[in-house]
Amino acid sequence: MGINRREFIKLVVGGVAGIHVTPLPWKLTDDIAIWTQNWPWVPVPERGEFKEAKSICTLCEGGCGIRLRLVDKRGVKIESREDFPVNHGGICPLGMGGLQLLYNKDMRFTTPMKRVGPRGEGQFMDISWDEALDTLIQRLKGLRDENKSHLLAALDGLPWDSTESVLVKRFLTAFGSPNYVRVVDQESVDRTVNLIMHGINGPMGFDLENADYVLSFGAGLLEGWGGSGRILNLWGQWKTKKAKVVQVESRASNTASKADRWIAIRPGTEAALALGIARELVERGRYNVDFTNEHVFGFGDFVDQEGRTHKGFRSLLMEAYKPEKVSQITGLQVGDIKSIASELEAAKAPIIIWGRGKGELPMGVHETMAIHSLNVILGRIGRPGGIMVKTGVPLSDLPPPVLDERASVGLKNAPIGGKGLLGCTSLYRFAKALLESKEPLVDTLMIFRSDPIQSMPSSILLEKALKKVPFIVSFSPFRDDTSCYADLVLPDHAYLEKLQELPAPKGLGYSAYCISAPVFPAIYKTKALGDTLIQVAHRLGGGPKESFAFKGYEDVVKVRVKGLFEAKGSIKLGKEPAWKWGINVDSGLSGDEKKDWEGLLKSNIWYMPNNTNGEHLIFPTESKKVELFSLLLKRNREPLKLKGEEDLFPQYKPLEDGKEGLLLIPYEMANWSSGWTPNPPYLTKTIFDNILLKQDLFFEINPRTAKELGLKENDYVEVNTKLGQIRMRVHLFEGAMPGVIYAPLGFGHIGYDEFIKGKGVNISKVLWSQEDLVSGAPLWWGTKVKITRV
Amino acid sequence: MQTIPEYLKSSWRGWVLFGVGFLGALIVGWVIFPMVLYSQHPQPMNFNHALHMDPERVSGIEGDTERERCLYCHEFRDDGTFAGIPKLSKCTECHEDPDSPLGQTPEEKEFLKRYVANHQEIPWYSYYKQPDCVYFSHIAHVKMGNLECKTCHGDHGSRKVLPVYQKNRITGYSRNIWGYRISGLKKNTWDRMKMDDCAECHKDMGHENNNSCFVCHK
Amino acid sequence: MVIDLDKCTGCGTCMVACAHENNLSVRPDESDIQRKLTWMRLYKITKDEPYPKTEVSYFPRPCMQCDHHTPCVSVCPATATDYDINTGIVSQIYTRCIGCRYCMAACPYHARVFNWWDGYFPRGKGLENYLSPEVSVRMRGVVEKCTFCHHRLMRAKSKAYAEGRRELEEGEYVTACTEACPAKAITFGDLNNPEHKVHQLIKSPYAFRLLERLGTEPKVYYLSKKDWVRKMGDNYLPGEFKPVTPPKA
Repeated sequence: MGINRREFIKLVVGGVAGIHVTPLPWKLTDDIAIWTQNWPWVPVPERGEFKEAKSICTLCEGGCGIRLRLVDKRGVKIESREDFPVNHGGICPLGMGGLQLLYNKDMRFTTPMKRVGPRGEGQFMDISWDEALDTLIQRLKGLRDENKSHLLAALDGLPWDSTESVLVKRFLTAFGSPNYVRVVDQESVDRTVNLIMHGINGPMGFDLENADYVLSFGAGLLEGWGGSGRILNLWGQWKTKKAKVVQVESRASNTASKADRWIAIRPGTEAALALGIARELVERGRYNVDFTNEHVFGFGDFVDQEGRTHKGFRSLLMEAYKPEKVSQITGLQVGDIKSIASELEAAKAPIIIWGRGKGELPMGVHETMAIHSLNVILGRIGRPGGIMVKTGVPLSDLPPPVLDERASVGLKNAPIGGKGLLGCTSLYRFAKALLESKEPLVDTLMIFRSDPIQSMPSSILLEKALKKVPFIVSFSPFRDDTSCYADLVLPDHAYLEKLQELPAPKGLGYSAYCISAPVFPAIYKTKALGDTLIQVAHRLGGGPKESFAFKGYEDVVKVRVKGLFEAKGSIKLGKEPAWKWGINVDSGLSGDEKKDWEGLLKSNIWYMPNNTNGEHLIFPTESKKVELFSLLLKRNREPLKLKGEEDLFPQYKPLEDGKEGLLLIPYEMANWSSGWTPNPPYLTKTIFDNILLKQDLFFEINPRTAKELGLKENDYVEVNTKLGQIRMRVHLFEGAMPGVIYAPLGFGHIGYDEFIKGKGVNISKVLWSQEDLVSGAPLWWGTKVKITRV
Repeated sequence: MQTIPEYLKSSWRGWVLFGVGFLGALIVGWVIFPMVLYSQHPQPMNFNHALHMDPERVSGIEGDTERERCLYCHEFRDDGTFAGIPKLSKCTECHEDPDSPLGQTPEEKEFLKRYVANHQEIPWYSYYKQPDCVYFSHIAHVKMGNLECKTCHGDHGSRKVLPVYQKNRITGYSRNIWGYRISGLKKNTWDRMKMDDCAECHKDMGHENNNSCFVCHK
Repeated sequence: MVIDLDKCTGCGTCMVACAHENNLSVRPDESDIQRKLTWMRLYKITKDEPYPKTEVSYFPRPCMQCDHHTPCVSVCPATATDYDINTGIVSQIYTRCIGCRYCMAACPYHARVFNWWDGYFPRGKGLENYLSPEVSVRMRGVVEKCTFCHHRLMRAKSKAYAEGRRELEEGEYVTACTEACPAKAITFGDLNNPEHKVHQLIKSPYAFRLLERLGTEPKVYYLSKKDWVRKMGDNYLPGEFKPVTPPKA
């Protein structure tokens, strides 16, 4: 018997009726609702035990203490440390987003790699460590075997005096190459000035914690200058204790706007203003007479050993920096100059600081000296709230490297681009030398923690120069722009994965050394840079092997920190803040090396508060005084191509690239890295849509200037400099000086991943620049541009 | 004279078929559906709660009350969070001692060999795991609210054998959330763990304020 | 919450801290303003004066946690957002949200954002590794907003319970932005508790709230001694805004 249609319907109706008296439809509805709430591709963060780890942040050289919130072994958040003397609870956006850099695979080199695409495209193929090391060693051995060890060069962007940097330098020497190259940033310029004026080859410190009046010549205090964590925190403290900040800058930056007073100066003329103020103070007789008499050389006119009379700094000021002239140069009122002088006079603990943006883009040496001369004549050196010139860290020296015959031969060659006062070559000069030479000057270039394609003005020159280097090796953990030009990558661990150290946090007013043991085990197949160098040296044999008779990187650090344990500092975080002068601190040292090492790793810092006993007033220059007339420059007059005697003094030197067109001044932001450190994706959220919109970068222009040029908000324009052309959009901003356009740095990356690659344009590339005679730094603030609407 | 239409002739057959459909649906809904809905996952190894909870047989686990004994292993961390299913280290706290009675049965041997020796965590299935959008504070209920573990977890502590974990194929939730009765009806407080059950209890206990959304959702 | 705008440096640390703390989705196209998801958001304001008298300032804007006639709560058809009378915090339950975005239209502060897409977690990229289990990750199609880091309240409570306390001390529960602010411009506490610092701060003549005259009673106060900044806090008719005359010492 068959079932007819009607019977079938009855069966189905029965079924439908039946199913409704079962839980099936109701349960299914519920389950489906829940199902739509839990898509499998929406990640569910794993739960676990919350823990905390203390460490330091080494994304920049600020040396901030950080706390990591962990879930079992996974880091989920970075926070600042209130107990850490450097940043006392401050942290910057970059440091906050650090975990995104650590875990983001595409931003990093996860294993040794070799280039497969054309240079600059960033296409790499994974290779094994064995293969990578073999490739490098074979190449290096070849150079040494042919007695061409000088064809190796190293570009070092590691923190000055850090163990890794010391090892890089040592490797080069033991290998037999004189080509130790650094990007000349403001840190290098400051060190140069420190050497010229105070005779100290070391960092300069700013005792801002104890200052009550901060006169800042362009230093982007709120744009990332001098270690954001510390400075941003100080900013809050200054507001509370009513310290006054005066910002000298052409643009209404955050610092300028938030400062108590903004001096809107013509860009690049800060040195003239400083000297104008200095003249005003000298004229009024309100400079520090005792200090200049006792500790300063070259202030007044003097007679040298040969009996010749020389004009002193004072005469120079009186002649060349009359208020009316300074007013003309700087575009400021004479009254402004006088009133700042009066404010300086009245302040108890004034400090004069300098820098541009984050304080990485270099200023001229003479310019820096000019601004610093205000500190000199006010006697603000080695005093609470002043400039500290001896904040280097007493780390032990390693035994001198062993030079074998090949190394000795190689070291006899002159360094490419010449050796600067600080014993290293300026990358700018190095690149120029490569470009000018018809012969290949370098065979292999090793790059350490440096992204000059992104950070060096006129880096288009470097891009061309790199084409003339047959083999480039990068040791970067991140896929930075410069590493995209590498042929071989031997990736270092990222921060927090390795033993991190930082001697002398940037701009700190007292000696400190920050160190942290790894918080996380290495996530990818990377290797600590120090260990890689040691391994390579061992395999090269001969001098390099003997020079690197260490078991591993950690051992080298342990040897070096012995010096700290012998000095009278502390590894214990006390109640008294470390920036207080003349405090007696409990050293926390036991004398037992192993125990002290553990103690150091636990507190993450060794520090030495400043002493009031006058030890900060010892200046090992030729004259044993702070030199306004530099005897060091005098001795090096010929190699540095300095002309008249005025070049031995602080002075203002105009910098201009023609008369026509608008001036292009780059600017930086606290919430955007423009150096080697990549930007965590979260930082994109903080960038306003009139800075970066989709892929387009905006420059700021004053509405009046824009009107003259017929430009409107959001217009697309082509910006032409002597070095190239970039496409940008227009943003009208009252805070922009008429006749100047301001463009942000740190965009237009060719490296990293989809979060930042190709967003905006790289301004550094097309910034016109001129070489600073003393430091070899590219001076960049005179770039003239022509703008055409598209 | 009219002939009786064919369909009326077969009406009794129709009703039978209706009944068959109805009954079939009942069977599908009440019997087959729950069998199909849940996938069965035996725990990686057995754990005898009853044995460990018996102070006469296991001495290491301290506590005067049942709750204290539960909390000995399912502990609160210092920050007040609840550790949930203990980690291996909790087991080895006692069982690292070679004299501790473990390793007689093949299962215990397997435990020692596979997990303890390799320092590998046991991949337990959690019967009571709430979805990610739910925040639940054990300490608020157990310590501050003075609730017995039993109130929500039933007689889990007196079981000799761990039941097979049943996972809802659609939602991925444990069967304990909806409860073992497919009808969703409950007799005991621990029979079901849906949002309404939490809310009902809060209301009954006079904590209606705690039914604000953010108290339990994150 | 009280935010001292004169101390705020506009650095954006609060935004990053917030995003990190609350597992905010970040996508490669985040540089498109329309796709930007933020809970704590920084607004830049410019003083309307010609160069060089102009200056900029910032408004960090979390959810205002409106107290009265909470605009979003009153319009939500799904009861996905609710006002908690214990804490005064406005909740948002993502699993309940139906994505109609009525609340976004109702919010006068633009404090709410919509997930047009699922979070960006390509397989093997490792981005899910830094997600915190304290906040659930949102899916596409739901609205989200600042919760005053409600999970931190729960965290603080659990800790207090473990120590046998029922009441929280001042400072035990602060939001991620408060903790992160390097200049310490943000103060967080119980506005109703006379012993808390915020209770004192809001009595300042320089304290104000955003769009105060809407009557939404926000629980976020701002402090600024600059008249032009305070004036930006609401829409004033010409001559309506009254500058504060500083009290004579």
